[in-house]
Amino acid sequence: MISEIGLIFLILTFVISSFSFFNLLFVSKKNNHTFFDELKFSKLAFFFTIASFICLSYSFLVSDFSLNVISKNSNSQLPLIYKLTGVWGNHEGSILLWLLVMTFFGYLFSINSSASADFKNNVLRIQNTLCFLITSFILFTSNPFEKTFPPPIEGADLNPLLQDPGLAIHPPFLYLGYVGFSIIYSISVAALSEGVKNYFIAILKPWVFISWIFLTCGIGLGSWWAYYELGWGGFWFWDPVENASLLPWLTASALLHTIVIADKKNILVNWTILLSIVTFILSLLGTFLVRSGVLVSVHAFANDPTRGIYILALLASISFFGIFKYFNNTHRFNRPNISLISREGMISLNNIFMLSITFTILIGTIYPLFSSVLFNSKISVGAPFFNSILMPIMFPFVIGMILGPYIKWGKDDLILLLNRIKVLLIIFVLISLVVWYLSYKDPVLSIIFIILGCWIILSSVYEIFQFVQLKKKIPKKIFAQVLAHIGIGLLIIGATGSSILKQEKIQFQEIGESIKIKNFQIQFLGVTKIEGPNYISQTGNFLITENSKKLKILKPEKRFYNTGKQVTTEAAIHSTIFGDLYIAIGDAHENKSQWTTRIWFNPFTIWIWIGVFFLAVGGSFSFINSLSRKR
Amino acid sequence: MKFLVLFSYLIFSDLKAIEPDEILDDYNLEKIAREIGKELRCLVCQNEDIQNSNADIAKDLRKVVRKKLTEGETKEQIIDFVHSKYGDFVLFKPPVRFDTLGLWLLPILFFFFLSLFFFRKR
Repeated sequence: MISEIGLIFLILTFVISSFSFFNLLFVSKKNNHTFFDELKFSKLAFFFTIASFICLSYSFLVSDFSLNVISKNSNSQLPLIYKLTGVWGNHEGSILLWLLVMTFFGYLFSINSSASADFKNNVLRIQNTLCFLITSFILFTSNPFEKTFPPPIEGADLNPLLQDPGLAIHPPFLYLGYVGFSIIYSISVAALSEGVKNYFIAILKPWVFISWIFLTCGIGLGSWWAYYELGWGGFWFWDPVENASLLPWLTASALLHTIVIADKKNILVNWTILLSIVTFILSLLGTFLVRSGVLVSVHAFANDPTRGIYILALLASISFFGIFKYFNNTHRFNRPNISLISREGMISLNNIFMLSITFTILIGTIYPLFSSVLFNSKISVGAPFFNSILMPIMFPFVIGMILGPYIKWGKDDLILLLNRIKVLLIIFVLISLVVWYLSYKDPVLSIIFIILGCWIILSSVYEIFQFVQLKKKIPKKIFAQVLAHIGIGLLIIGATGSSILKQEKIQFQEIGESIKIKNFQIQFLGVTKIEGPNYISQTGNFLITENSKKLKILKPEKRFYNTGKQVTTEAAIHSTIFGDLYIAIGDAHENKSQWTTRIWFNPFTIWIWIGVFFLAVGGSFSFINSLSRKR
Repeated sequence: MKFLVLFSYLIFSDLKAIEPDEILDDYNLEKIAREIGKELRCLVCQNEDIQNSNADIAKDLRKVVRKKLTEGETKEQIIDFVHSKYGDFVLFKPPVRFDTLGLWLLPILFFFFLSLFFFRKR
């Protein structure tokens, strides 16, 4: 009963948003808004979608196995929290969440933006049209309310990998970021129709920041999950799915930088609009790549070709519409006249690097697909390719990032600049010597990257220091930039430590045996069998001693899920600011007196997540700043 | 009892990546083996290198790599051998060739195009 109501609400969303679609296509722009009141449509679409989403969530909570998705992706034994997060642990539900976020952003824009009522109407007409397209996709190819008959008594299980707090919570964050870019697209396209002015840039700004913050958190949570769940201490795998989320993040990060100069100096305004459109197109492309399954295996497409082709058609028409509007309304490419040694030059350089990285990852991700179609050759593109192209870019990128904030607008002189920051340069030399002295035995690459990370952090701190020295108030936007740059510095150090500098001990460890790694002694106390709500766990007990002081007992697990017969590893991690002690347990040998144990020391790993946190806080300062400026 | 041990081995054989008995005693050779392992794709996995995969074929390849290393072959020779046996799909970094030219050149061309767009004097 509840599920039928959910379906009715979804159809109502479809009907309401279809008005906007027809309005956009057939009704001339200069209509009066008495009937086509897009603000009202947005409100209604949001209300209907959230009602529909609540109905689906309720059906999941009460395990209504008459629904196809629930019988396939949930189970009555499942803990309550995973019954709920299971709503987006499958294709149909996650697309409904996608729609919910899209209507949510439309609604937020209708009540919050400082734009004129006329402009709001134009923006929301596009936003509601996007909602219409997604709703039609849900209803025609991915209906979560589809029934199965006869309803099974028990459902299959939610994929055990998804039964984890980190993974359960990260899709909503990712979607708030991904789909937040839809409103940026709508604002940009609407602005194009009226002739781009920087008045629109001010409207656009807060939405860019808020979506970027959510996407940053989403990617951070996802890689944190991969780190502790996949059981071997990696955090980024250049997996197509990860790449798909990174692409819009990179263009949005480029956008964060240009939107500042577009707003302030009225330069690169068209470019900013184009970036906004491209960012949403990349979000859609990511969804297409992930949802259609073309990348994981070409055959997944054949399993359900309608879905893949439908998303491809949506992607093509939304991209075409945006790009067409762009070229139709801007007079050729308005090339900027910018000198390299200036603030706007440095921001342009940032954009060149960011977009080149984006393009490289995009090509690397989709090239195997192309080459199999065009040349009939099966190739793989993975971490070694991305590293070999991206590593050389890192060095000039970071130098630009360090100098950028100290360079003046308009035109600056390199000699004068170096003279202005000579104290900072001396600090750089000193810190490099310290890092080199502490780690001269490590690989050269790691020393270089850790020094670069330290440079970024110190140059950012020095910016603040200059304000304090002159007893000037620190503007919010400076604070935002400094925090975000420190975040990147921390991220570089963390990533270097946990990839290049990690130490490992892999062995058959006997019960009672101690293994030494760094300053830690790890004594294996044995394995206990523990029954969880829907799994059985083999829990290893390891006594950790640091410099002959007993610290704690770490309990890595191996879980055997009852229903799906699947196994997951749960690593146990002891985090310190210098590095993580990371233990995973494998199999029993020799009549259970020996177990395979994998012990890693991952230096500085915690700084990756702290870096992501800094990025998010920095973004929040920009967000608050962009709101307060309007009033 | 023996049956139980075997049984437990069968269920619990969801091993992750490299096993203790595969690791070479020679630290430097093992290091090269790891470098090779990261360049080669596990043929039956979604996106894993042989170093971190638990599939049988990855395990076999790890053993081949280590055997050849102890016999004195170089990193390049071993990668060439695996490449000739399994084709391009096994390499995570595709060779530069006519059909992969786009992969290697397009990013560089894109970089120059953007640089020109921003900085060329009018």
